[in-house]
Amino acid sequence: MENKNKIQKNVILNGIAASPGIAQGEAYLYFRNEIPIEMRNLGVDDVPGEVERFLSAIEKSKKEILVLRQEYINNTGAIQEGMIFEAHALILEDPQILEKTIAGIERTNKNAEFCFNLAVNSVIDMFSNMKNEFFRERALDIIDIRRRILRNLSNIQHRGLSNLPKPVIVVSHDLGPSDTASIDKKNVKAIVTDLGGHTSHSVIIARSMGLPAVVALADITGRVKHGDTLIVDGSMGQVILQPTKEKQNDYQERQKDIFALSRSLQQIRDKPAITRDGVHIELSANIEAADEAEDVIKHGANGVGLLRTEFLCLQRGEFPSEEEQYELYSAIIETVSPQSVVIRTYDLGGDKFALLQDTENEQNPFLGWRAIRFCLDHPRIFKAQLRAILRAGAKGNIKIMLPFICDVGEVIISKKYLKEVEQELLEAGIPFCQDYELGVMIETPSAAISGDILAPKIDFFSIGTNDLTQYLLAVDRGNEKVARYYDPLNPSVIRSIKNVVKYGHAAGIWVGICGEIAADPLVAYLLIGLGIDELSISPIFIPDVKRLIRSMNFSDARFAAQQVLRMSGAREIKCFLAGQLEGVRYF
Amino acid sequence: MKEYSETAAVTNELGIHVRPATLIVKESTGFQSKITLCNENGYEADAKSIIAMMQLEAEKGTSVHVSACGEDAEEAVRAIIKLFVDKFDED
Repeated sequence: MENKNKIQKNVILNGIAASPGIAQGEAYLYFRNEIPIEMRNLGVDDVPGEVERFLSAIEKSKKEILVLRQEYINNTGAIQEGMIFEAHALILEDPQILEKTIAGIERTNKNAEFCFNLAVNSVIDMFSNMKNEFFRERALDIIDIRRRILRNLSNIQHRGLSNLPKPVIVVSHDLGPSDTASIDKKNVKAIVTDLGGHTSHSVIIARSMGLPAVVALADITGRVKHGDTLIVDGSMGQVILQPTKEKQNDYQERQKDIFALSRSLQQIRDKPAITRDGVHIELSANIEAADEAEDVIKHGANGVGLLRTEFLCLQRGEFPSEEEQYELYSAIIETVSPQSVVIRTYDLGGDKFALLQDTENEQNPFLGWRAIRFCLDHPRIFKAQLRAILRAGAKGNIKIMLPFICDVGEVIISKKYLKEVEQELLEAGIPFCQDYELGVMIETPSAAISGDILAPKIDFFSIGTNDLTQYLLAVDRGNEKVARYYDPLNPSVIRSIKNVVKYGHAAGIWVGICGEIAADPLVAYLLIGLGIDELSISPIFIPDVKRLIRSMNFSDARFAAQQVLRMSGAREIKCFLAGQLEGVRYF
Repeated sequence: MKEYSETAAVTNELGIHVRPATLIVKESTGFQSKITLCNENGYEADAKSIIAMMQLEAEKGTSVHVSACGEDAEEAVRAIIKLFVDKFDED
């Protein structure tokens, strides 16, 4: 009998259903702050290269520490205290670490991470056991140095979830852009996390990859061991631990059903997104990697409504050259052609950290040096990107979108750079796209309120509902304590969207939405009713939303939206919209 | 090969903590000689290793034996002793 072992079977954990679908497989515990240290055997020929790799990680770490020291002294004027950084730099090159690691690599033919970790841990142990409390605490300094070196080692070799051994279910406390930027897509079956909400980064990634995800499971990392079998039900928001064979078979059947349903949705792939009363809605896809361009076609999207270019640098840890960008953008543009690709210039900062020397931790990154602000302060980086975009644009149909605009001045300066780049390309005789549209993201209250000032300068608006909601409601959606206040159906958000549509249409430009919220049929229905011309969502949700569009009447949705604009609370709005959608007969 | 040694008293308030250790290593690396510091428990530490310097756990009121071996042994020892006498510019 099963009772012989005390492990309870079929334990169900409930979280938030973040991305639909069912997956079964082995758990892969991933701790974002600890870089997993694996042991690898090297060939004899690889040893000198490995020592070299270690030395360059030390060199890089040392440079970083000296930059920190200079900043510290500049900011505080405290040269004496700045000496702690000098001490750290000396620790890096201490014979007990440097020589021991190199000797380890050369004697055992093992990789640098492994040998370094052995050397540094014996030093940490030594400090931890000292009798003087002050010296015991120095172990923390060395732990910090260990983290820095391991990070710089992994920078070169692998980072985050890029190197999974086989198809697994990723179990983590939370995932950030740094973890998922280079995620090994082929080997992730599902994502489950302790933290997170509907719009957290792990969820956006899971959806864009079409993977089931359950978040806000509280303590799944404490309850699951590496290699445990799990069932993830992303549609119900459940994770099942220690499933019995029956349970596994049961879910296998349901997996087949879901597959069959998605096949029937595929049948409307090639049909246009037109309401029953003849209103055409642009239904396009959000993507962030070249290999997703195929998905755009596969799911029947009308081009790309948002290409997130910043992930290209997050993957590499540095800014790609103009040439690399050109290749990448060209590949996507050619795949999607003749439909258009909306390319958003770098939206770095906020929760998308830049792996650059000159970005520091900001007190308030979401109100900080991000997106267009960063680009305008780095004309070389910005112009290289614009050049790559314009050149690639010659191969198809592009639109350029500027993120995080707060003031018309930012648009004017960006246009000046575009003009300069065009002039340079013209003079160099390099072919480029001359008839692109230029648009801005509306994601700050200032842009939403002053849409009438921005509209005459540009060709389209695209509303970023995630950020707009966050800034309008003053809620950090990553902060569990306040995340419940985050609601895109809050009347202030809906009114802002309505105003942006009004300003855009008055100036004769189109208005889109590129937030994942538009994938929710309730919200999509409302947005269409508010007069939004384009919805851009993850490719996997395209068939669902297209089915809704083809089943609804625009006139009904417009009437419903007018009623919603008179309502006072998100709950009331949600109930009302649910009632309206019940009236839609899908076919 | 020349050898030279002298004993220093630890007189600064905090003993050889991070900052004095940093100063000793920076001073030592300017000399060719191998420089060794030995605490009252007989623990010998390489003066060019900051980790070893901190492992000395040399507190105020103890003494440290400084020895060097190499061409510039005497200058090296004198330079290190001077740091102790100057209380590492602390206090």
